Amino acid sequence: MDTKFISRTEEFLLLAVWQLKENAYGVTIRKQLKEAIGKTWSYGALFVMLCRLEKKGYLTSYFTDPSSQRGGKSKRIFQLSFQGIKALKEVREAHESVWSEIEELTAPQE
Amino acid sequence: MRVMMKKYRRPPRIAEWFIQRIFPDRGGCSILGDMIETYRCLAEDRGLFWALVWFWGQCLKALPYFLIDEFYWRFNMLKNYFKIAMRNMFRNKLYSLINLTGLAIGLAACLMIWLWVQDEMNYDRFHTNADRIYRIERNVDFRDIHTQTPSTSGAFGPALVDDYPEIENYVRVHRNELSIKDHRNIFHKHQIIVADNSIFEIFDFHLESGDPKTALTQPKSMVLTRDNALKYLGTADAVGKSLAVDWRGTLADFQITGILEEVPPNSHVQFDVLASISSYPPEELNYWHNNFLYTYVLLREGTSPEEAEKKFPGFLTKYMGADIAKLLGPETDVNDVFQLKLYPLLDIHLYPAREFEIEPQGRISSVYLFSAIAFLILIIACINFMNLSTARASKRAREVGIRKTVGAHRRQLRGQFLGESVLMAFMALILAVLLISLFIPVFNSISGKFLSLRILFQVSNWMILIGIVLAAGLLAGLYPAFFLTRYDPARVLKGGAQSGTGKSIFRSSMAVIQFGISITLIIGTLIIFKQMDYIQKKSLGFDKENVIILSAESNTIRQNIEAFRNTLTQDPRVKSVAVSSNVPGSGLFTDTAYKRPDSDDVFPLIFMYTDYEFVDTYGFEVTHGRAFSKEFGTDIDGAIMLNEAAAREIGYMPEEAVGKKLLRFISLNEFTEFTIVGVVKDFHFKSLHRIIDPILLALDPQNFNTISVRVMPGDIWGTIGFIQQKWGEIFPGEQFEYNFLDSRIDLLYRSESRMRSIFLIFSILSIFVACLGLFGLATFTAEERTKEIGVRKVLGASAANILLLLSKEFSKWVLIANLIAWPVAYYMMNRWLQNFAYQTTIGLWPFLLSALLALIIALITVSYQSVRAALADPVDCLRYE
Repeated sequence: MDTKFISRTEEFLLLAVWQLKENAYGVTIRKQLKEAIGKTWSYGALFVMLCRLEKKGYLTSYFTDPSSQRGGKSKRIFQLSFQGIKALKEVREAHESVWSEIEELTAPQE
Repeated sequence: MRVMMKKYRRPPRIAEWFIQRIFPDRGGCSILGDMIETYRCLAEDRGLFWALVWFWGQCLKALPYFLIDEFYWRFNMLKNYFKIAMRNMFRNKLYSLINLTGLAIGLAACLMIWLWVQDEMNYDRFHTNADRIYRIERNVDFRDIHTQTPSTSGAFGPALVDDYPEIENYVRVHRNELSIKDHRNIFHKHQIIVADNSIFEIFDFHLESGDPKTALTQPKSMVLTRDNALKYLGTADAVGKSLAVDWRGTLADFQITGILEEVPPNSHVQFDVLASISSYPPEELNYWHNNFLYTYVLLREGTSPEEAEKKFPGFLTKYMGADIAKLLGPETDVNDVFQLKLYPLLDIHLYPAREFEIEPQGRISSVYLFSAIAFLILIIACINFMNLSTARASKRAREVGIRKTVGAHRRQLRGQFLGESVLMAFMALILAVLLISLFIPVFNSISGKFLSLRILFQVSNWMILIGIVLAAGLLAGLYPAFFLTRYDPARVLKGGAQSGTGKSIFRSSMAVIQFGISITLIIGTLIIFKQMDYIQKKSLGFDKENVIILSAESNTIRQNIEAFRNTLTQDPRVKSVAVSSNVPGSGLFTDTAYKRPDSDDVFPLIFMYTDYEFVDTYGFEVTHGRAFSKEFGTDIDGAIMLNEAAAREIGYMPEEAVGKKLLRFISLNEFTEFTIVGVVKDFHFKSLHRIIDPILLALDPQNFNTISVRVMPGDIWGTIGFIQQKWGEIFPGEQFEYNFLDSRIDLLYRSESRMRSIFLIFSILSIFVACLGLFGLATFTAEERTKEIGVRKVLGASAANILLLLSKEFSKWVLIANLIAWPVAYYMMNRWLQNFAYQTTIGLWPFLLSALLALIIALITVSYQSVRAALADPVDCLRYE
């Protein structure tokens, strides 16, 4: 079947949201990504990607009550949707089936 | 401290605002919240400054992501729009084809004319100093002569540079025809330019090899193009070699001092061989009272031509005052007779002198006319495009309904329709460019130009082009974009969206405009044809058919002419042979000053040297007196004939002129006496643009440049072969060059006949495009009225009734279009006819014929659809109820 896999970046983002459970919003997701893959994202890039994932239906989000600590703004908490989980599983299965064929990666000989 | 803390808390407001603008989720609240949180942490950890830098950095970094994202979502929608556009195109293949080809042909025609106009407008602009170069012209105000002559004598240039510091440099240019001997000892006539060496300094004419500083300084030096070097010398390596040239009756050697680069086709003066003007005797060049050459001057930078002109009166008094006073009487001021003018180089091509122009030039009126045609065709094509898009768009009401129902905004729909028509317009542009590249050689051969698509690829032109296409696309998309998107989805989806009457009035008035334009062009074409026919058929005062003109420039020919004449006339195919210095229809005539013995008035008259046979050969009608005759031995000593205009010019009635004397000025006080022996009926020796000028025929059988042979009609080519054979026998080594009198005369109307072809082509194109539109509309109407027609047929209407019903509407449009087109065409063509002194009457038939033509074409176009609709089985059209 013609399955369109999510991209590597999308995979990272979804996994980060999954790991953060109830606390997945901008600041924490960004921190999680930095710890996991060592790359610092700008908020602009992060939000563009998150919104896109939401529009594609992999994520859902809701807003918390505004808090004064955040200058009177609310948090936007992201959660994986069923479709998001399915997409992650598909990627994982594909990964595993591809990698299982390969016994050991060695550098090509001279 | 708390106050300070508070200050820390808030990042810059502009940055906040910025983020809120570009991330519209809840006014950008959540992302801003996240950023503020991090900002606070940073401010506490690393200080306010770093936090600020970070915050701004985040804002800037967000921008590209925002843009990419915008594009990402738009792209998805665009893909859909594109897909739908393509589907629509392919679903309605006929419409799309008509729409595309109509616009493409319109654009192609328009672009073609645009190329032509650009070329006309860019004449001589390639010269670096183009805006500082002027031609010295002379205004003559003498009795009823008011002309501006572009030519001067050779003395003006040097004297102007000496006397006026404003004038930096001058070049004298003389067009001459020489016989040049090639390396196989054959002579060729060649049009050359004799000029000062400064031609390379003032103009941007270049040498491929040779020194431009000295190439034309020495007498009898010559430069020529590579092609001519090959032709005459058989080698391109010509510098240093010499060429034998028939120079005023004797053979002279001209040194080749350089190889000339090809002259750009958009130079108003064309040449491929240049000779040095110092080859002429100095006394000829320093003489003030002739005007055989053209003087161009280069003004110093910052000098205005008006200021320079103001100083010229002193100049004329200084150099010509005394002579003119002697000629015309002591009280005459030279400045009343002559004014020197500086004529801008850049104006020469489009606003040429009325007479004596160095080459045939263009006319600004043609530029205007053709631009107008281009514009009109573009309008026709755009209207077409618009009408068809509109007609077709109403078929898409359902799509609009669906899109609206699932949440499309009106703005998006508008964008979709506009985008679609712009897309179509660009496809048409590509097609148009292909069409042009295909047809440009044809157009070039008709228009006599060397146009290429290259100009189109200049950036500025691309901008204009894209602008035009964008405008056409937007214009065409406007109607569907604004009216269609207004539909109420609920009503549309129920299947009720029918076009209102408002729209069909709009469409039909557009069709009327299209046909109006086409009919105007057809009338124009018909009137041009009529005028050209009139010119061809008009009696010129002589018989132009069956006369062969041979050129005779050398003395050997002049000496042996009697032998040649006798040999030829022995053959029954040759009627008579005459010689003359010039023939009717030739471009250049010279005039001299004459006076009557009984008065001091001076008359400049054009003259031609002829022989005894001339009047007979041409078939001039002698109205008074007699033709030259050998029976009168005295004729050879100063007999002349006048045309009626000349008789009147010198103040005689044609009948009383016979027997009178006329004096020709040799110098200021010396005269030769002539006797008028006859008067011929006025004849057109110049083009019909002008009224007949006075002309004088003088008898001098030894002074000729052309031989006119009247032959019997029939085997013309055989006769020419015979003449050529005898020519070879009697004048061995002389080049045989012939042409026909009637084709020479036709050449006078070259620009008109070009215009005729161009008009013809473009009116055909315009009517074709208009018909495409009509066809599309007819298809549309027939489809829309399927049900109506079905009902009518069920109720008993015959096929003929239906046909009439459908054709009536279109006929009405065409008739209205006629009413609009007639006055416009009449005005336009009346203006054009003013160019001719002798005009055909416009008459009614071009109008009636074009009306009929348009009607027939329109009905044929429509008939395909109407017949189909009329013959359709009503069961088919009503079944879906």
